[in-house]
Amino acid sequence: MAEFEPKIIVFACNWCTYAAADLAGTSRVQYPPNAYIVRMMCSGMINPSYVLRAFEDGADGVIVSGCHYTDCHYIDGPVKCDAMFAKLKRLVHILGLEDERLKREMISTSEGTVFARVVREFVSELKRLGPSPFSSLRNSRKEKAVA
Amino acid sequence: MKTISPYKEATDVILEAGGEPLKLCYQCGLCTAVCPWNVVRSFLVRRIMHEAQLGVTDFDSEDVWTCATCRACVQRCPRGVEIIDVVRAVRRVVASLGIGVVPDALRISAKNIAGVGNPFGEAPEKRNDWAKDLGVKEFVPGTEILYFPCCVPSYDPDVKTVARSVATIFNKLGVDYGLISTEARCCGESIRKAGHEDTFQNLAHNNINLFANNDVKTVVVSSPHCYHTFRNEYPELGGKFEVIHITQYLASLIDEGKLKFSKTMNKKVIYSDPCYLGRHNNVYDEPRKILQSIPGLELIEFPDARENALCCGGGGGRIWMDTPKGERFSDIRVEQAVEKGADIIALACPYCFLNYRDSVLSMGKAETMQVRDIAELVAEAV
Amino acid sequence: MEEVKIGVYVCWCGLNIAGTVDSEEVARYAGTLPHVAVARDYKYMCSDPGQDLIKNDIKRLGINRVVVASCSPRLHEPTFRKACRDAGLNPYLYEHANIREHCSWPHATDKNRATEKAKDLVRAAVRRVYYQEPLEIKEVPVNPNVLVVGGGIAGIQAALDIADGEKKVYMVERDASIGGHMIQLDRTFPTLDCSECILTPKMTDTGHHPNIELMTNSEVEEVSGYIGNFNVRIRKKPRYVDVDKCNSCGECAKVCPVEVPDEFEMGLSMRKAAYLPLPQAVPAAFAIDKRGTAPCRIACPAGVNAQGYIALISQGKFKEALELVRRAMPFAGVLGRVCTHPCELECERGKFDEPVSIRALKRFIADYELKTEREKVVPIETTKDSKVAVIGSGPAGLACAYDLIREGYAVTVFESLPRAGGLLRYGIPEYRLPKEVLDNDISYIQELGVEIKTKSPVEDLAEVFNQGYAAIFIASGAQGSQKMGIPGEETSGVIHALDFLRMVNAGVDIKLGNKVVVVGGGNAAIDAARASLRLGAREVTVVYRRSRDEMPAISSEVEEAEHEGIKIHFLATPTKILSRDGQLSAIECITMKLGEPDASGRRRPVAVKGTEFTMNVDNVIIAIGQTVDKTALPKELNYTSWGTLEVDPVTLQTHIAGVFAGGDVVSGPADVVVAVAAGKEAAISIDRYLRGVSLTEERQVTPKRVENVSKERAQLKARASTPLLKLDERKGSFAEVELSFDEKTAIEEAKRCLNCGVCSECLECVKVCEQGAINHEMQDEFVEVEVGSMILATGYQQFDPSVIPQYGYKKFDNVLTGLEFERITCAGGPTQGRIQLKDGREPESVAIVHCVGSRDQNYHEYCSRVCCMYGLKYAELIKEFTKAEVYEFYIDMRCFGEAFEEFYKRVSEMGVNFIRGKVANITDRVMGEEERGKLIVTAEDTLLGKMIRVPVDMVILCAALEARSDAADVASLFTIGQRGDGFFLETHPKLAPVNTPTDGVFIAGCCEAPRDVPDTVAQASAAASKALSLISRGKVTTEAAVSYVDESICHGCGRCEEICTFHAPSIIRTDGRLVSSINEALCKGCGACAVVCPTGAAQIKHFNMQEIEGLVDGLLEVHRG
Repeated sequence: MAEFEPKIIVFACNWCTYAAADLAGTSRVQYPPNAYIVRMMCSGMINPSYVLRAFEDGADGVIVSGCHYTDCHYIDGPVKCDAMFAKLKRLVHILGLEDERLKREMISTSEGTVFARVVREFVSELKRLGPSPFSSLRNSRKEKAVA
Repeated sequence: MKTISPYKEATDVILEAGGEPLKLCYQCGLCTAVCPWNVVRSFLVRRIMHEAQLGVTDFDSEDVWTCATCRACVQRCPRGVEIIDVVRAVRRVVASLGIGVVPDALRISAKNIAGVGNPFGEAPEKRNDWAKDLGVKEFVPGTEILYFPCCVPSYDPDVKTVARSVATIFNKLGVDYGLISTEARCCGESIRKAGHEDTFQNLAHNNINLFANNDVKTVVVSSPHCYHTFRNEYPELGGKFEVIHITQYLASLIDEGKLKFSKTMNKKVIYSDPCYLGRHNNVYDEPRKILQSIPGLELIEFPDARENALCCGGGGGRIWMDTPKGERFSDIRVEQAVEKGADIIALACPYCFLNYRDSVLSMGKAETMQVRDIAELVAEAV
Repeated sequence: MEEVKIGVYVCWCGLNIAGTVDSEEVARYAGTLPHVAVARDYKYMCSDPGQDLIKNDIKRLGINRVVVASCSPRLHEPTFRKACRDAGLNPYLYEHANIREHCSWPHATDKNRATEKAKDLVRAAVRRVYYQEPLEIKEVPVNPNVLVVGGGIAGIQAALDIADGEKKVYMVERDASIGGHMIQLDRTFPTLDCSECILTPKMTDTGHHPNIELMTNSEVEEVSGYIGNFNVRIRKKPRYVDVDKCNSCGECAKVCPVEVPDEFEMGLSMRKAAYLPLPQAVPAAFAIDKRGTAPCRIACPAGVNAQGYIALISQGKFKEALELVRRAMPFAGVLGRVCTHPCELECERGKFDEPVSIRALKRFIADYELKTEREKVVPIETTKDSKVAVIGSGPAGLACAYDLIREGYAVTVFESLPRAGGLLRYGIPEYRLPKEVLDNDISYIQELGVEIKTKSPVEDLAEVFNQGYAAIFIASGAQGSQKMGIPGEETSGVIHALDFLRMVNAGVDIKLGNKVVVVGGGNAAIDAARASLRLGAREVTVVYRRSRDEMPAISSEVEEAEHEGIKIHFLATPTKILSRDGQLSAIECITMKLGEPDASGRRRPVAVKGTEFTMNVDNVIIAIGQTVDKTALPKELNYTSWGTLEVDPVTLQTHIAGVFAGGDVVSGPADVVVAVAAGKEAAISIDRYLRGVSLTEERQVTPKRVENVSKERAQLKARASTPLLKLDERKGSFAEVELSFDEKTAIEEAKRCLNCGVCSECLECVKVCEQGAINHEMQDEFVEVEVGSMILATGYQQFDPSVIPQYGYKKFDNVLTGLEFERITCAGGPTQGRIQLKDGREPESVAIVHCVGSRDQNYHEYCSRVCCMYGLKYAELIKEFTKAEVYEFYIDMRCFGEAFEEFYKRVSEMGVNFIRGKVANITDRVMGEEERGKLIVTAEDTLLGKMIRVPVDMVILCAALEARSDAADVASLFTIGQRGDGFFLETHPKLAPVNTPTDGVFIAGCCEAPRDVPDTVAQASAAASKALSLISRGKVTTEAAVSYVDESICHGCGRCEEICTFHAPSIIRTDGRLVSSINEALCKGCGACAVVCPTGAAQIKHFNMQEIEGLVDGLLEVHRG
C-alpha cells in the first residue's frame, strides 16, 4: 500500500506567507507537495468556518498563517487572527480532532525557507498522526462525485 | 605536461562519503590562511577542496591525513563550508575503498579500536582498573550519573590521574555516580574523523545499546571528543541520553554552592581551550569559571584564546600519528605559556594532556611547567 | 443567470512549469471538469499569442469565466485580468492557479505528484470561478504632489526629475544638509570625476527649485491613505538656526566652545556644536547640534548650566563662563566653595573615570573675577510697577531678589542683622568662605539695583503691604538651635554651634579651653570643630551618634577636619554634662549601636546599656540641628508639625495671597544650593502672581536628559584635585583652606568634560550672530502634506568592520574604512587630500582588502557590488599621489560596468599587486626585521598556493554596504517589505524594480540594494517616471474587493464597526432598523468584519464565503450538491 500522504490546507495572507511560498518556489527550495495554499488578503480575514470546512472536507491538517505583528499590511490583522484562532482551537477540539492538526504560523515575505520547513515538518508530523478521522468522509463524497 | 580533466567519478565517491559541502567552496583561501599548520609548515586546505571539486585528489598524499579537525577554518569560512566533513569524506574513501595509503600508526590504532575497543590494544576487561582502589560502584539502573572517562585516562598510566581525580571529587561530594561495565568501547569520535566509518558505527551501536540497557540518562565525560560525538552524533543513531562535560558539571556544582574550595593554590595558570570543547561546542566559560573559583589561583590567557585558540594537534586521529619535532602545535603553546610566566598549563581534554605532556618533556621544561587537567587541580584544592 | 462557460488555460512557462508538471495532461483533465467549456495549454500564456487565445475564446466561444494556471498571481494576475477586460469580460470573473511558484518549482523532484497537485489547484480554481461575480471598478483622482524621502543622490535625482516635470515635490531629509553618501566621496569610478563637482550643482538646484519644498532635519512620522491620496505627517526637528537669515558667515562656529567628531569627515576631524554640515551644504546654513540637556545641569537644583560654563572655561573664556553662571544665580563664588555639588554625582564622565571637578571650576571663574577686578555692573531698569519685599538676605532671599530684579521688579531685602548674607555670613567660617568672596557676590546683586536694608527686622506683614510692596518673600532661615535635653545643658561653657559660629564670624573674641567636644555630625559640627582648633583649642573631639556612612557633613570637609587633627568619636551620644564649682568639667556619653532604619532611611542609633563613659572637657559645642525661630517671624503665619512654615509645595505661597516663603524656613536646614533653588522658584511664583497669571499652569517643564553619551574618544585622565593650604599654616588662622586652580589646570580640567548635550547652550553664538539667525528656543514642528505617491531613497550605511576583530579596525590607527579613505583623498578633507598615515608620514605600502563584510555568510552573504571598483580607484589614487606599493586582496574581481574592465586594465598598468585570497588577519605581531613597525596582512595567495604575509603601513577595508539599522522601522512606516538582508523588497527584481507591494510607494538607490552612482541615478529616474506616469494618468482605480453588507440579514449588532481598524463600517438606521453600512473609500478589504459578523451579512467581495468554501472543496476534491 502506498504511504499515507496527508492533505494540508494553508490559509495564507497575500502579503507575507503567500509571498514567502512564492519565494520558496523562486528559490527552488523543495518541500513535499502535500500543502495547498488558499490565498487570503489578510490573516485577519480567515473565517473559522473556512477552516472547519477544510476539516469537514477531510483535510488532515490546516495551517493558518500571516505576517508577523509588525508587518501587517492592514496594521493589526495578526491580532485579529489570534483572537479568531483561539476560538477556532476550541471548536476543533470539540470536533474531536487532535490539536496537532491545526497550526498557527507567522511567516514573512522573506522567509521562503521557513515556509518550506514548516510544511516539511507538518507533513512528517501528520504522517505520524495518520489520516484525519474525517478523511473517510471525504473519500465517500469523492466517490459519489465520480459515480 | 600532464593533462588533467575533471574526474567526475572521484568527486562522486567523495560526495557519497559525505563530502557534499565541498560544492559551496569558492576558493578564497581563508581556510588555508587560518589553518594552524601554516604556522609550522605549508598545508593548503583550499587546494584539498578544489582537488575534490574537480576529482583530482591525490589519495596517496600525506595531506589527506594532516588536518587535525580543529575547526578554525570552518568557523571563519565565508561560505559556511563544513570543511571537516570533506576531509573526513576523503579519508573514508581511502580507508574503505583502499585507494591510497592509511598511515601505519593510524592503521594500528584503528585495528586496536576495531578489535578490542581501545586504541592501545589493552584488554577490554581492564578498562575500569584505574578505579580499583577508589570504591567506585558499577553503574546500575537508577544511578544518577554515568562517568565515562575516555580510553586515554582509562589506560594511560600518566593520565589515569585525571579519571581518578574526578572519582575523588565525586566521592567527596557524594555524587551518585557509577562506571559502566567493561563492555564499553571507545566513543569512536576520532576514528570516525580518521575515515573509519564502519568501526565508528559498531562502537556507537555497542555503546548506545549498553547505555540503553542500563537505563543511562546522564553521562559525564572527561574528553571533549566523547562529548562531541555523544552530543552531536550518537542521537542520530538512536542514542538518547544527556551528556555533560566534566567542566560544565563542576561549574554547575560551584554555582549551586555544592563545590567549595578549602585550599589555596598560589599559581599562575594558563588555560588551553580544547578544539572540541571550544570551537566545536562553544564551551568557553565553564573551565575558566572553575579555575577562577580556586582561591589564590591567577588565571592568565594565551595570546590566542577561546575562538582563536591554537589546537594541540591531536584531533582527527592525529593523536595516533607522528608529528615531527618543529611541527608540534603544543610545543608552540608551551613556549607561549613560558613567556607568559605560567606555572601550570590547565587542560580539559585527555588528547591535549598527552600532547602537552610530551612537549614539556621533550622541551626539557618538566621541572618548571606543570601540565594538569582541571579535574586534577579541583581535586587538589577541594 | 446565463450559463457558466469556463475557459481554462494552462501555461508551460517554457520548461519552468512543463519541465515538472505535465501541462498538457492538466489541460486535458481540466476539460473534464463541470462547466468547463474549453481547456488549453500553451508555452507562454503571458505572451501576446497566449493572451489572444483567451481573448478569442471569450469573443468567439462566449467564455464568461477564465482560469489561468501559470506563475504566481502576484506576478501575472493583473496581466490576465487586463486581457479579460480587453475582451469585454469583467476582470473579477477570473481566477488564477499558481502552478509554478507553488508547484513545479518547489516539487521539481517529484513530477507525478506535482502534476497531480497542479490538477488539484486547477480544479479548485474552476470551482471558485464558478461562484465569482462581476465587480465594479471605481476611480479616484491622483494628488499630483510627490514625497521624496532621503536627500542623497537618488532622492535628489528623483526630486529634480519630478520637479522639472512641473510637479510639486516635498523632500524630507534627516540630516541638516542634503547630499547623502555621494557628497562624502572624493572621486567616482571609473571616470574619476570628483563627486563634489558633479553633485553640488544638483544639490543647489534641489535647494532652489521652485517646485521642491526641502525639509532638512526632518523625518516622516506617520503615513496614511492609499495610492493617489496619501497623508503624511512630518516632524521637523529644530535646527536652531533660521535658514533664511543665516548667511553662513561662520562666526557662531568660531565662538562655539564645544567640539565633537565631524560625521561628514568620518570622525577624522572635529567640528563645533554650531557647524556647517558640509562645505557645500544645502540649505547653505549653519546648524546647531543639540542632543538634550546635560545631566549635570539637570541635577543642579538651581539649574546652573554646568556644561556651558565648563565648555567656555575650556576655551579660556572665563568672563563669559561666569556670566553664564550668573544667568542662573548670583552665587558663583559662594557655591563654587560650599555647594554639595549634586551635579558631580550625575556627571557622565564619572561613568568613564572620574567626574569633572565642576564645583572647583565654578569657583575658579569666580576667583578669576576677584583677581582681575570686576567691572561695575549697570543697574537694571525697573520696568514693572510692582515692588517686592524679601525678608531675609540669605541665599534663598537674595536668589529670589536677583531673579525678580532681572524681571524688572523693584526689590527690597529686609535683614535683621547688621550685614547681609544670612547663614552664608554668620554660619560658615571664613576658612571655608572668605567674606571677600561673599561680599563680591552680594555687591553684584546690589549693583543690579536690589536694595538691602540691614538691621530691619519685619514683625508685621500688613505693614509691609502698607509700604506699597505687592508681594512678600519670606526667607528668614532656620536660626534656632536644637536643644539636647540632657542634664547640665545650661552649664556655662556649653554653647550651641550656631551661636558659636555667629560670634566667630562676627569677629567676637572667644576664649576656649584646651579640650573641646563638639556634638553632632552635620556641617555645623565640623565647622565648629575646625573653628575651635583655629581659636586655639588643643584637643577637639566630635561626638556623633551614628557611623561615618550616615554622617551628613560634606565628606571632604570631614576628611580635612581629621587631617587637621580633629578626632571623631562615632556611635556615641552625650547623656549628662558634668560640672565642678559651676564650671563645666566633663561630659558623660553612652555608646550606641545601629538598629533598624528610621523614617529617613538611615539606621536608627540605639544606646547600649551600661557603656557610659566620661570625657574631661573645657567646652562643649552642641551642633545637633537648627530650628525655625518662630519668635522672630510675623505672627500671621501657619506652621507644619515640624515647626517649619507651611507653604504650597509647588508655588511656595503661604495661606496668605501674595506671601511666599522658601529656604530653610520652609525646608528646615538644607544645602545652600537648595535654598537658592527655592528663591528662584519663589521668583517665578511672584512674577506670575504679579502678572495675574496662574501660579501652576505649565509650570514644571522637565528638560530632556541626553541619552547615550559617547565615551569612545575619551582618554583616561584623573580629575584635577584642588590645592590645599598647608596644615601648619592653618592653626590660629582663618585663612581659606581650599585654594583655586591655576588657569592651566582649570582649562585642562574643563577639557575632560564629555559635552554630553553637544550644544552647551552657552549662547555665545547668539551674541555674535549679526543676522539674529540663532534661536535656541526652537521646538519640533509638525507638518502634514498630501501626496499622491512617495519615493523612498533612504540609502545605506557602511558596515562596521570592528565586528571582525581580526581586521584590527579601531585597534590600529592606520586601518581605515573606504569612506574614511575617501575623506583623506578629498582636497577639502581633513588632510587636504594628502594621503598620509595618522602620524603624518606618507605610506610606503598600502593594502586594500576587498569583501569586508560582504560575500561572507558570517556577516552579509551578498556582494556589495561597488567595492572592487572603488578598491581599484583607491589603488589608482595612491599610485598617482604617492610612491607607495599597493596590494589589492580580492576574491574575484567584478568589473562589469561600462568602462570598468578598461579601468581595471589601466590600474594594472600602474603596477598594482593583485593577490587573490581572502585576508585572514591584520596584525602588528611582527616576525623579522622587515616587518617592524608595520601592519602585517596575511592571506593565502590562492594562485601561488602559498601563504603570504605582506607588511604595509596602511590598510583600507572595503566595508560592505548594508541596510540602515532602522530600515525595519521605515519599512513598517510605509508598509513595504524587506528582504532577509534588510534592504527594501521590490515587487519584482526584474520587471518591477522600483515598485513596492504598496501601490504608490516607489524605491530607488541603495535602500533597495547596494549599487553604484550610475545605477542609482537610473533607478531614481525610473522611480520618478513611475510617479510622473501616475500623475499624468490622473486617476487610479480603487480596491474593488471591499466589504459589503447584506442588509436583509444584518442585525446592526456593531461588531464590524468595533473591529475595523479603518472605520469603514458604521451602524445606521434605515427603515426603522439598525444596519451596518460600509464606506467603500475607507475599506481596505482586509475582511476582519466578515469574520466577526454573526449572521454572515458582512462579506468581502471576491472573497465571499461561497467562493472560499468552493475553493477548499475543490482542493480536497469534495463534491457538495
